[in-house]
Amino acid sequence: MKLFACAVIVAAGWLLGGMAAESKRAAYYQARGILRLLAALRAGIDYARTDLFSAFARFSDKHLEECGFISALNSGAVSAEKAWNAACDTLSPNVPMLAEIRSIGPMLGMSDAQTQTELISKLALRLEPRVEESGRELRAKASNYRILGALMGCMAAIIIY
Amino acid sequence: MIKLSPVLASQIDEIRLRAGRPMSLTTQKGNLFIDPQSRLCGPADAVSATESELRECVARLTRSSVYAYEECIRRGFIPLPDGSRAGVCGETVCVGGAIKSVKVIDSVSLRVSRFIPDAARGVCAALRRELLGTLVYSPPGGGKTTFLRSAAYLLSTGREALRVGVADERDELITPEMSACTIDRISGCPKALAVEILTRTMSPQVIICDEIGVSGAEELLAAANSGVCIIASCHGADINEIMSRPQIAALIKSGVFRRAVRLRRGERAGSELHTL
Repeated sequence: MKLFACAVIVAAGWLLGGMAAESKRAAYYQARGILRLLAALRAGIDYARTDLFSAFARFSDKHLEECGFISALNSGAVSAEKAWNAACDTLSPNVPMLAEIRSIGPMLGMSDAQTQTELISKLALRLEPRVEESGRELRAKASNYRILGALMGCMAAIIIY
Repeated sequence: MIKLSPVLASQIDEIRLRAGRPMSLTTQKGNLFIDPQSRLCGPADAVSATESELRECVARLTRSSVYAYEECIRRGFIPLPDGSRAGVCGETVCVGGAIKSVKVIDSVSLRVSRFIPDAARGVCAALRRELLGTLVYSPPGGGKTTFLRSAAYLLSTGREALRVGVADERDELITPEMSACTIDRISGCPKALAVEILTRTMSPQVIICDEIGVSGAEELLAAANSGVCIIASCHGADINEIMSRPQIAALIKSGVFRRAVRLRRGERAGSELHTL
């Protein structure tokens, strides 16, 4: 019975560690969503000259929907800049390059197609390695958090029994 | 915020916004100016739009996507979803004599689109009896687009609906009210190309296009020689003015247009059909 209780405490520690790591991953998933959105915008502009609000309306991403980014984009703002700024306010402050992501707002839609695709491509090119890096860091952190959780569980089991 | 009386609002053909200069309303009675208290006044006392207001206006007209209207803006207009259009002009960037882009838009002319289904009823009755090429003319702002829209609607609805092709270069000939029409439309490309594609691929009985000019005469002739009836419009106060333009005169002489419709506004408003 004691052995079983110890195993439960260790497993709970492991799970708690995993949950703590998961909460840190929201920013990473949101940044990945932004990268997908940038790719969709670039393709829409390049291929069909799709207007920004139509492109926003067609795009979907689970993590950006969860944080309210998508609904802020499609909330009927008078300009793409206002919609973009409102949407950026919903992102986690830990999203890499958040200031740069926000800074493209005033330029969104207000120039020719070539300048628009260049603007979006440049941001995506800079953001991509940062997202990959934060993904690697998070994976390492997640594993450390779980191990830490399990160790805490072990310590608690030893102290209790 | 300016509030216009419903009577005045119904008479407006265009709203002209200019950055830092007087806003004006174009009506059949002339150009009107409004002061901040919404009263008629002279240009000196009229309200004007600021640069940022005009920028916001352009952002709204283009749904914040100037790139999507790049080509149209280069040609001086922004098409709107209801079939109307906004004329734009300002500071351009020219390369090799051609406009590369419009750097700053400082004048916007919002043209009010009107769908008057019966505007071309008399002419369409004549066309149903005998399909003959028809040239519609009037000075700018004379109602040519409204007339062509009505012709497209009347010829493509009802039991004897015809196959109507519309070369809609400026995206203004089709309105949401025309959803039940048997119209095949090509929009956003030069009229000449649109006429050629329609003739080759859609076998239309009638092709309608707005504001024919220097380009497209060859394609219109080819379409007419393929048995397609052409209904087109051009600027001109009378037939002599129109005949002074070699391309249009050549189309008339070669039989592309056998009839003409003169549109009048003002006190003697109406359409007058005559044979060429």
